[in-house]
Amino acid sequence: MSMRTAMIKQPTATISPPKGELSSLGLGELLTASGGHRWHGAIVLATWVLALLLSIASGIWVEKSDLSALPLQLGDFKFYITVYPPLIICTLLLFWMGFLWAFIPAYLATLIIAVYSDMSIAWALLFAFSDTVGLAFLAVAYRSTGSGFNFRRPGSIGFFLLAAFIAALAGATGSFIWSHTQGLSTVETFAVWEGWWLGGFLQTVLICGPLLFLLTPAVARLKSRWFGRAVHHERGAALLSATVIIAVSLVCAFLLGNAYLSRLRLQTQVAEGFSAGQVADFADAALLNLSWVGAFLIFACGLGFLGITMRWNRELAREVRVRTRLLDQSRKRIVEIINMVPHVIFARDERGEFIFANRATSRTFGLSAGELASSDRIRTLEADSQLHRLSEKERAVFRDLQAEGETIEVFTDAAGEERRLRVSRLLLDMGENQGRAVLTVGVDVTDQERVERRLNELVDELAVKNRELERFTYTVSHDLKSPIITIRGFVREMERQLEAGHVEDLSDDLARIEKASGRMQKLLDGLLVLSRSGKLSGPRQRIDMNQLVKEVVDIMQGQISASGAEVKVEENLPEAYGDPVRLFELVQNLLDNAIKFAHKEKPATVMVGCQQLDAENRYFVEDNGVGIAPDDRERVFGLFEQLGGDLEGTGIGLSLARQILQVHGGRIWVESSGDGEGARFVFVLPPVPVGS
Amino acid sequence: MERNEEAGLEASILLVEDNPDHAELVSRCLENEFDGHLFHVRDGEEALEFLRHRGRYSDTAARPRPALILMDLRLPKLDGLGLLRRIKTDESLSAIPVVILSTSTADSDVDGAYAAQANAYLAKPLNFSEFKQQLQATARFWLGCNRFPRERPVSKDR
Repeated sequence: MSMRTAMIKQPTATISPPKGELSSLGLGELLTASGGHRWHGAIVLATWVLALLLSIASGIWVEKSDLSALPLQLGDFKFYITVYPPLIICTLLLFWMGFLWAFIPAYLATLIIAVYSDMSIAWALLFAFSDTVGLAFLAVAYRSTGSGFNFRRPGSIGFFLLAAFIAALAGATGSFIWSHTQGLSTVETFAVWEGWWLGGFLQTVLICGPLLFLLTPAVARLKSRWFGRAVHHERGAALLSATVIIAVSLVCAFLLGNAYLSRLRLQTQVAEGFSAGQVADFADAALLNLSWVGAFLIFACGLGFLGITMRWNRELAREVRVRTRLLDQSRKRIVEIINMVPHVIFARDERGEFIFANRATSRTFGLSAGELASSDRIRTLEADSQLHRLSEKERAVFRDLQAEGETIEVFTDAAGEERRLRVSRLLLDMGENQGRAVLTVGVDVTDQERVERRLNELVDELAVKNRELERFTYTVSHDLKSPIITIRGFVREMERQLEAGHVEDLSDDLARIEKASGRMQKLLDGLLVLSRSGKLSGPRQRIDMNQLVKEVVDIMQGQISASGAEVKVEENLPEAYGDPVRLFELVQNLLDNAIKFAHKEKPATVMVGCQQLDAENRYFVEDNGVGIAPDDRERVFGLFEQLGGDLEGTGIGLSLARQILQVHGGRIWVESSGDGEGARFVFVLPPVPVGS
Repeated sequence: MERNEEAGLEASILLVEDNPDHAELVSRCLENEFDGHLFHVRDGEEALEFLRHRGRYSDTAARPRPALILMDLRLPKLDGLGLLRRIKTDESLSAIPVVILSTSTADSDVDGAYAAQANAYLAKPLNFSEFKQQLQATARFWLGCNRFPRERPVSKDR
């Protein structure tokens, strides 16, 4: 997986749609239900066809048995009611299956009744829409508000009552077509109309209500088991406004229409010669009727809107809770990630207060991790902390509104060590009323730079060593070859002389062979010492140089006496720190060198001492011997370099001395005014470490 | 093959060698090969003194200009390459053929010698018979066979 696709996956929102109990079923869904669910679709379809037939049959039965506009007397109340079973069936279909599933049976049942009652086809086609208008209103009302049938909540009941009432009013508009085509009188028209809306309303409330309340959850469960997901319908503000406008218009139309019809009826009654008492009773009844309806409307409206508002509030609160949790989780995740990053990351506002800082920041600058964990802001920076105030660079970002490129900045870390950070900055807009902040990201390159430097040093050292080794191999092979040539040459010469019978000259040649092999022996011994001196013999320690030089002089006493040299040693030499075995060899070789290269015409004097200069101890071995030409001051330390020609020695001693100083990390050099002026070999060792 | 008339086999050779044993061997190899004298000096400075007739070699008659110089590379005081450069940049000496005689077979030494205008480079073989043959052939070639350009610079000392 490539880095680009390995991004952090945003958690999918876990907000469930408000119970999808009232979601519609699609015909396609029923037909394409796969596998074991295939027969579920068939069952639902069959049930629906059954409901369709039942609607038509019950419609015809009601028409035949003349159940429309039944007069009812309830106390003082006298009103008409029409029973119409297809509406019950279709209301249930509407809520459980969807608008279209309800529309078809409602339309067909009404159409068939209309045709059955000898209504003209044109009127019948229009008339058949009457109940579907009420159903459509119910569908729109419930979809636009997202309400359900939890009648334990008064708001839910209020909404249902209100919706059922307005739907009934909407459905009852068809009664006027009926009355008109049947040529009914005004009184009859009123009775039919009242019967329709009141009948429809009561049917819906008393029969459909309880059924919906009891069975909707079961139906929803069945639907989700059989057909899976429930579709969540977005509540559109436009749909809601339309619903409200339609509802208000219908209610207004009802109130006006009711008043108008009542007045018409009163006028008719007056005209037909009813007594004043009867008319007054009738007017009283109509007023009471209207008052009850108004009271009911206000009550249902209040309850319904309360319900809707509370419901929306609850949903909103839930959504806010869920979103907040998600946001919180995502924030935590980001904080964890930032904390895992080993680089310094922090952001500060214009007052220099921390908006956030990651763990690397707290580690590097010694800010407490607890403060980071407990709150976003660190207000308690100590006054002497370098992060106490905004740095000049941070201020520059606020001022220039942009950051310059990466810079290397030096900080002091919690341990007081200097850290070099490669810093980049960014101006952050913190959003609404939060002002701005500067984000600082610092990559600690101290160790990296140190390693790089060390690596380069090592590479250089290695190159030097390599060159040394090359020269060494070359020198060794060259110088070891020389005695072999001598030996083999003179052996061959001796053979020749023996063949010729000259035995008297052999001793000279033999002496040369002897000398050459002796020289070879010395070279090999020297090489062995040199190979050993490349490393320390043991741990470094403090060394009393007075003691060490005295021991060297003692052990070389024979050689010194033989050469006639005078060796003087300064008193109170400062102590040194190193490998005593190697330093012994060093002093021995320098003394040996000083004695060997004594001047032929002057008595040799060798001085061992120490001079303090530039806060370092410069030990020296000085002679008054042959001296060294300026060009040769470096050459003397080369392997097998013998500047003196026929003098004794292998040319290893000074190489050895230099190697010992190299291993110790010190230096050695020679000072000499030139030929015949003597020489002073000076060496410096690293100081005694503190605390040893 | 025609003999070189100007510098016949009676001409002298200058050997610059710090190792007395090697000098002795060279001298023995050449003792019956030519009629001239083999002069031996021990280091680069001495060789220059010899060639320029300075110091102890101021007697021009006793120290003739050599017809061939054999030299080692590793020499005390002035080393082989330094000596070679001075000879070859000195108009009066640059015409004298110089043959390097060294134990070294290192490329850097060979390249360095030719860069400083050496005329030939001979690595001393460990086998003395070979050593002898090569030395004798070299002497014969440079003193007997080789033809030098007509306009040899005339030494001021002569």
